[in-house]
Parts: sequence; structure tokens; C-alpha cells
Amino acid sequence: MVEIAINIAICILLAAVPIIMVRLIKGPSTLDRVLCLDGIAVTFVAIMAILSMKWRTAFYLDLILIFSTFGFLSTVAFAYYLRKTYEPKKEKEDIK
Amino acid sequence: MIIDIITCIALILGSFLIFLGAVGLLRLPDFYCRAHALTKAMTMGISLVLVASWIDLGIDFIGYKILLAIILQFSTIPISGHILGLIAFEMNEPRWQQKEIDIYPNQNRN
Repeated sequence: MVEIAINIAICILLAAVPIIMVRLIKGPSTLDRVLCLDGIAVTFVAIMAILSMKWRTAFYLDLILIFSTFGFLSTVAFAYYLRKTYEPKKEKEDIK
Repeated sequence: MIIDIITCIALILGSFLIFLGAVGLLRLPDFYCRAHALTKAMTMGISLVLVASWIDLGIDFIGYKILLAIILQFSTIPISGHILGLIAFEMNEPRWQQKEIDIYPNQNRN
């Protein structure tokens, strides 16, 4: 019974990834794309947890820790450099 | 038997929550709405999937590694959503202007 649930869950998660990728392609701003990368990282972590259930190994759990930390740090790095380089809109309105 | 049923329910519910977050990311009209949908749904979904794998693999088999993963995900995903929302508010990201909602769309209101 658990194996059927594992297969169904893998199918649902693999259907969720291209839906996020549509927003990754057509997202109007850079922040949407950063959000999409965060979502794809979370989905991959879930797929790794389900694969460690399927094959009954504990080796993927270290990979889960590393990958979740990596996704969070990439989001923070993108946010840091976006904040450093953005142009405030008030000055543009004052020039016009 | 009961452990199998709990595992199946947590697994399918968690993966369905992640799918729901993806659909919300695609369909909602605004950046703030998208961040809200993705953050909440993905936090609950990944927690449920990790709890399901914890129940199925057993405590001795893993050695509390997965509890650490649950705490990490549960604390980092809302923080990243909050940071992105703050930067969107600073960059004057356009907001969704809510129009007048038709409560009864099939009737003719004059």
C-alpha cells in the first residue's frame, strides 16, 4: 500500500515542477523567478525524501540537508544583490 | 497497518499541498499573492512529506537527521518569503488593483 502511495506522490510532484517552470519563463519581474527557484528547490527536496523511502537508504538524508540549505542561501544571495543594485523610482519621477 | 495508513495519508496530502502551491504560483495575479501561496503551501507540504518518511523509515534507521531537516525547512522557507516580500515592497512592485466583485454573476443587476 505504501508503494502505490509513493508512486502517486512522485507523479504529483513531477507534475508540479513544469507548472512552476511556466512561471519561471513568463514571470514579469526578477523576484518572481527567484521565488520559482525556491519552489523548485523545495520540490526536489520532497522528491529526494520520497526516493529515500522508495529505496530504503539513509544516504539521501544528508543530501536533503545540503540541498535545503543551498536553496535558502541562494535565495538570500539573490535578495542581497537585488537590494544593492535596484534603482529607486522616486528619483526618476522627480527628474521627469 | 495503522502506520501504513498514516504514512499514505501524510505522503499524498503533502505532495498535493506542494502541487497546490505550484498552481497558486501560476494562477495568482500579483507578486505578493504568489509569495504568500508558495510559502505557506510549500512549508506545510514539505513538513508532511518529511514526517511521512520519518514514520516509514523508523527512528533508529535515521537518527534524528530528518527532524533536523524538518526544523530547517520550517524556519527557512518563511524567512525567504519574507525577505522577498520586503524587497518587492522597497522596489515598488505593482500591486493587484481589486475590482468590484460580482457576488451573483448570473443575475442581471440594474
